[in-house]
Amino acid sequence: MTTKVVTQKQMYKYFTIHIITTIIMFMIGIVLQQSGYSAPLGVLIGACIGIVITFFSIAFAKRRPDAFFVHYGADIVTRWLHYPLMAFIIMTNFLLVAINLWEIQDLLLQFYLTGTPSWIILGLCGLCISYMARYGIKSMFRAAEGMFYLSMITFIIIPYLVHSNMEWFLARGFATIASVKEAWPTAYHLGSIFGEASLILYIYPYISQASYTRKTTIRFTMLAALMVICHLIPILIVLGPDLAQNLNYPELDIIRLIKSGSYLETLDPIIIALWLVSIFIKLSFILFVISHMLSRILKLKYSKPLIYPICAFIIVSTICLAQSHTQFFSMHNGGVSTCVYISQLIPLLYYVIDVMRNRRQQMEEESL
Amino acid sequence: MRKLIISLLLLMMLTGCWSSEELNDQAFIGVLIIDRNDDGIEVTFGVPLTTNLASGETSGSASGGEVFGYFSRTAPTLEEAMQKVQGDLSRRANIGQNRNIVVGRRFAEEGITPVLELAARNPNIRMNTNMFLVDGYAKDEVAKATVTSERFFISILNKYVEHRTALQTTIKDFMLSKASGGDGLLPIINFSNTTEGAMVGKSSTVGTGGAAIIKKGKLVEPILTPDQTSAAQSIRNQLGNYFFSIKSPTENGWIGLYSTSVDVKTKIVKKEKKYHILIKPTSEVEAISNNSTMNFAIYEEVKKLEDRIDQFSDQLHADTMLIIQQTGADVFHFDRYMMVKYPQEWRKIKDHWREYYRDQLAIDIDSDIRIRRKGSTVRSFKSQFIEHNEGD
Repeated sequence: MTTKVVTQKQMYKYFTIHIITTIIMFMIGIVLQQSGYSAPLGVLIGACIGIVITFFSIAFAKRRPDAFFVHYGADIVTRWLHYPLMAFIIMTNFLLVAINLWEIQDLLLQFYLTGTPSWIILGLCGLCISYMARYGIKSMFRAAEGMFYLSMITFIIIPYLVHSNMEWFLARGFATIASVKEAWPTAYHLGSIFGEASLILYIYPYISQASYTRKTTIRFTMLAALMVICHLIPILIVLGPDLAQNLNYPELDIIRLIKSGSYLETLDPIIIALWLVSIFIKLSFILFVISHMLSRILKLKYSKPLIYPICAFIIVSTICLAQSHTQFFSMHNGGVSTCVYISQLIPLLYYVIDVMRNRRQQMEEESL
Repeated sequence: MRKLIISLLLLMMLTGCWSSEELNDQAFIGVLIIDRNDDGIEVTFGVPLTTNLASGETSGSASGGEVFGYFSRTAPTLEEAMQKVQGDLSRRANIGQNRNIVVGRRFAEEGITPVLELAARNPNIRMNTNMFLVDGYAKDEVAKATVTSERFFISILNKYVEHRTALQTTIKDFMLSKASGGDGLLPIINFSNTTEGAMVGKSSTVGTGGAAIIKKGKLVEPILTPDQTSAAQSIRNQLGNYFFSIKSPTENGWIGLYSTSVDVKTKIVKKEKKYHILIKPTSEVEAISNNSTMNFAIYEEVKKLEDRIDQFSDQLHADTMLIIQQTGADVFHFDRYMMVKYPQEWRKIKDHWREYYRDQLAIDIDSDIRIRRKGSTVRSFKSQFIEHNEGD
């Protein structure tokens, strides 16, 4: 039996960071382009979608709380179906890490490290995340515990720092203009990110006091949604929807709007550093999950030796992923979210089959 | 294994200088000046000449050399001209520190859109970069001006904005909304001749002037006077210290007043099927002189004076708004008020917003200005000392 090393509090802090980093770093521009004033509504709907997906995973995990899904999955749907499905989930998570890494290097190259070859940036980022993943499941959750308050402070302080640029009359638009129809693309995109919390299924045996997991899920999803909304609203109030929609990194731009002459004027590198740490924690967790699944499929005793090769593979694929921003986005919009949704909903299939089988067994037993 | 990884990590640190930016290789652009002439666009980089800046020197120049240099070249497009200027510089032009863009009149007449596009897209130029206009050929005017109160020309521009002396217009202000995009006011920097200005008797000096109205990125007539510019500043909630005089309510003399800040609230309301923009400036002013027989101890007289100030303020704001409104340039982006408050109606008129704004939008001004302090004396110098003596 595995030791229960992840506490509920750690999980709460980790998944809050897990969800908000990607959204605030990379998704806000897209979200505003798609939904404008309806974006906060989209975040809320997305959060609800995420909670539903995660609840399914938790309900499924609860049926065998001390075993790993990758192991017992084969017993439910036969090995022939189980392994291809697992391979699909692994590939989707691969893609998630690669996309995030690509976005990190794109951001760094565009604003700060002009002239550095991207493979150096990717290599260093890869080294950081794989090193962390090698330390095992505890390391990510402990790091998240440490980072949580720091990143919360920056996430709260940014809206405060730009408050002098806010044009409050624009806030009325949230009530008058927002519509579910406009909010839907955001909800769909972000639902897949909120749904990433369903990765809980793969680490369920590590979680202590597992009966509280559902409560924790609601708490961290709500906090993450709140934090994202706390960022969307200032952006819309400071820049207005028309300008915000036209920026690739509106979040960075509002930091750069901090009144000139103020000593906090060049705050953006500090924010970037904090974002990077948060996203590294997230990526190492996904990397850990991938290596964990792979080692179980390959029937290896330890997952550690797999981490470096997997990471190297991810880095190489990231380099080949896209040559330009436009290419990246044309690929990104075409169904990555759908892919992620499918991989998140695969356990549901197992769940349904498992429940049906159990019923049949019960009926057979009764008839005997 | 761990040792190997640590040593590998240490090796990686050797690459820290990949994107190094040596301070000695940088030419920090302090001001970007853009003009149009018959050959195309002339771009001028205003660069502090760091080699001539001896440490400890505080006066204009050290060791005889100039401390601020202008490098300019002309080319058909903005980018080509920038490349040409870079070709003349021995250091790499760094625009990341630039806070000011100055454009010449002819360039503004033909459209400032290339600058807005460049500034918005280039991640090194911040969106809160200030924009100024020179009513003439900007490079020539700026380069020949003597800088006296500050060390660099750019410091003067920065101080104007910081102390709210000049209207502040940034790149961002031109792109706040689609319906009124490219509309705004450009503050004018004035270069006074030898009889007026900061250093009378010397060559031309820098000062603030009025403001130019920009519509869809192009300069349109008329140019706002300095008083009208102050009214525009007040509508944008930027008016700082402001001295003015009002005709006394009691007799022919006048009363000098001083306001430290004006707070303006703007909203849109619908009255009798017509939309009204309601501008409400509120302020507390101090009396600083009384060249009349008015007695500040009498409440009724003070009340009358306050009414006069309100009238004066209403009139100034209304006149300014009328001039701006007639050009059809929505420089204050009132469309955004309409968009958020009446989204249904907004959808119907957003495509011809500028015409609607010019012909149908009513703009009401309702000033509320109070006299907070009456100064250190009770009666005016004239009534206390001169007229008193005359009576004897």
